[in-house]
Amino acid sequence: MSDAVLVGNPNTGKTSLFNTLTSSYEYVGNWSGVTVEKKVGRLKDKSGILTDLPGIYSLHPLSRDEGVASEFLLTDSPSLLINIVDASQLERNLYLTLQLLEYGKPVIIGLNMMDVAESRGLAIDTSRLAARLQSKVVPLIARTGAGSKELLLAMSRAEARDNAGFRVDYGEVVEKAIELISREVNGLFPSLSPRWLSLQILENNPVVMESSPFLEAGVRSTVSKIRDQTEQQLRSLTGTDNSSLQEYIRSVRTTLIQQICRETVDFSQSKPHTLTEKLDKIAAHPVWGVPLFLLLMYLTFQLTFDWLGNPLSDILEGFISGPVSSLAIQVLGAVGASDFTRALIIDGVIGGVGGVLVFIPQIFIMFLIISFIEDSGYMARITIMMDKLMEMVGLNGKALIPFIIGFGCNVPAVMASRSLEQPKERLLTMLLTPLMSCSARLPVYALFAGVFFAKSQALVVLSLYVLGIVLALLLAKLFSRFIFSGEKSFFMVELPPYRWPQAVTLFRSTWEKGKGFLRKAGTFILGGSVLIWLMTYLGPGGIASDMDDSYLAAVGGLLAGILEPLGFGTWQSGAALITGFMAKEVVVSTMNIIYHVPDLAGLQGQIAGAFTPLQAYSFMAFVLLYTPCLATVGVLRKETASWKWTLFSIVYSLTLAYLVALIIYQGGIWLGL
Amino acid sequence: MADILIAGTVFVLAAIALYRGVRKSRKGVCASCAQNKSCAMACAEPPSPSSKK
Repeated sequence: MSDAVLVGNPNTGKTSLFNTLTSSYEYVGNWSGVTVEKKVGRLKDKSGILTDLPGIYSLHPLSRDEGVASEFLLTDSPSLLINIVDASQLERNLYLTLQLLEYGKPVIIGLNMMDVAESRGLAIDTSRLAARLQSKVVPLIARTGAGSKELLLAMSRAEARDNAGFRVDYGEVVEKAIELISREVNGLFPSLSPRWLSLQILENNPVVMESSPFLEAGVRSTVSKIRDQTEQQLRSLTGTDNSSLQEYIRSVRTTLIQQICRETVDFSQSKPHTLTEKLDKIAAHPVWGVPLFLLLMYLTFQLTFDWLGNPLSDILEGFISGPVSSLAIQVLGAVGASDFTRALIIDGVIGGVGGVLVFIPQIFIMFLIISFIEDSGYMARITIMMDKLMEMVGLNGKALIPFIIGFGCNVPAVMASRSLEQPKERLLTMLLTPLMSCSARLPVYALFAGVFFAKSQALVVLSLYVLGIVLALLLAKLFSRFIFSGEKSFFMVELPPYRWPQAVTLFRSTWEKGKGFLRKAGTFILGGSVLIWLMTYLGPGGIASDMDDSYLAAVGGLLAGILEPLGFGTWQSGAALITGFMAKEVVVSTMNIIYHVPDLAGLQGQIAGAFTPLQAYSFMAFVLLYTPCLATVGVLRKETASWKWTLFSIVYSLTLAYLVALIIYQGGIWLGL
Repeated sequence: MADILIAGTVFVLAAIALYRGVRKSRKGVCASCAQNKSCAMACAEPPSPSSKK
């Protein structure tokens, strides 16, 4: 076995299995559409390559990401298919299985979620199922890794003629058509089964019909004629006027699947999904669903800040400003470091990087909760609840996936917009995604809200997140009037049963999300901090004895006048915002370096003197909305393939930030705040 | 001597980090992403803006 591929319905645990079988780690979540492109990894036993494809219900694609799977099967011709089947949804999953068995390559069926099926009282006779499908069937629980060894073994033993005997009988008329088309397409795709190709053509699969070997061979009109004739014959046979060939083929398969399920599954002990149904009555309620979601978000921020994040952050802060700083000072003293080097290390590196690192607890707690929401199945409910709202403002429900990913980091979120196949919908989503408050903005909120809104920190941060979402929706309405076409993508989301996430998966997922932050702190934020420190140390007149004469003050001062009406017209704020373009955490690094204070308490004291609560809120809103960071701008440029739209994104977000901060500050003053 | 070595190392490291960061951002897509090892997209070629299915 050299190259195997994982195929299956969405949310059947393919990526979990991929991570178990290969040595890589990919994003997993208990919601459909997590995998948008194929992923390739090397098997742990080094026996070959494994590809993970996006989930599909059938080989007939409904959206761009679904087309990836069909295209892969057509062009890459893998030597082994591993079909992951959700044992608790056997009937629906087997439709794809039949199509894969027809593909003509060995298929191993990974019967996943056996635990879920069992808990629902379903007893599956796997050996009978294997006999009916003439394939190997391996029971699995991908989340725990159970069955993966057996699967690897089955993979190593797979042979080319493993399920050559499997064949669905489509009846005389269709079988004749298959034979005729097989003759026409024979040799077009040498490695593919002509029978499978013929069936795809009869089903009018666009991926096959528009493939270049097919178009170049010029057989399109011949096969179309055969298809039309077959359809006519079927209509006269069944006595109906409007049934299509596609529907007929589907009904043959469905009948067979129902028969197989009756023979192999014992439903006598089956239980309804009582827990999921009970929870959904509350969680997905049309009226109470949204307030409940907001309440959960509020509790998330309470946990992120007040209850757990801040106390942990204080401990970490004590460690950095205490033992770490003292050790650095001692070492620097011992080697006879100059004042310059001492300031570089203490004020620049420890001040800049350490100032951001103290917020690790908040960021990791936030990621842990997001991972929990994803893996428990609640995320799918959120997308359903928001779908109507999204449609009202002219956005596709699918845009929610990039929006939600955007709370972690805007860069992958912009990329996730690829799942929208209409280019204009994709563009609209990409432009609005940076309004989602990414985790890099969390240190800024933690710092400012901690100083000015200590008692209502969670509420203030929640208000900023909601502000981002509301503005994205309003702007969607506005932009869609100008750049939105009438065509819409197809949005389908499956509601998985609720499940209690596993600790290992949860921590792994949190770590994978959060380690990027640590890497960034050790690299880009470190570089930025040193640069900023140097800009505070030097000035137009040489070494700046007073920071007000430094280069950073000169640069920040350029903006001070413009920022004045927003309530933070100081060079310090201007400099923090300019440097924050590199990465939004750098706003905090810059503040730390500018006010070069030994610890967080000192910085908070300085900031408390420099801002009023109203100015602080205006500043936080500005940081939320103003230009996307450098990495996001880079990805926007790449994904929109247009400087015009990239610049538009920067200009509109700066304008929006300015207007919103202006309204907050001037409105606040008018109200006497 | 140690003084120059420490300051020099910090500046070189910072310069490399900044250079790499900016270069990655210019490359866009996965290279610039904080979650490039764990994200859902896995760095395939970006779709051309006019591609339709």
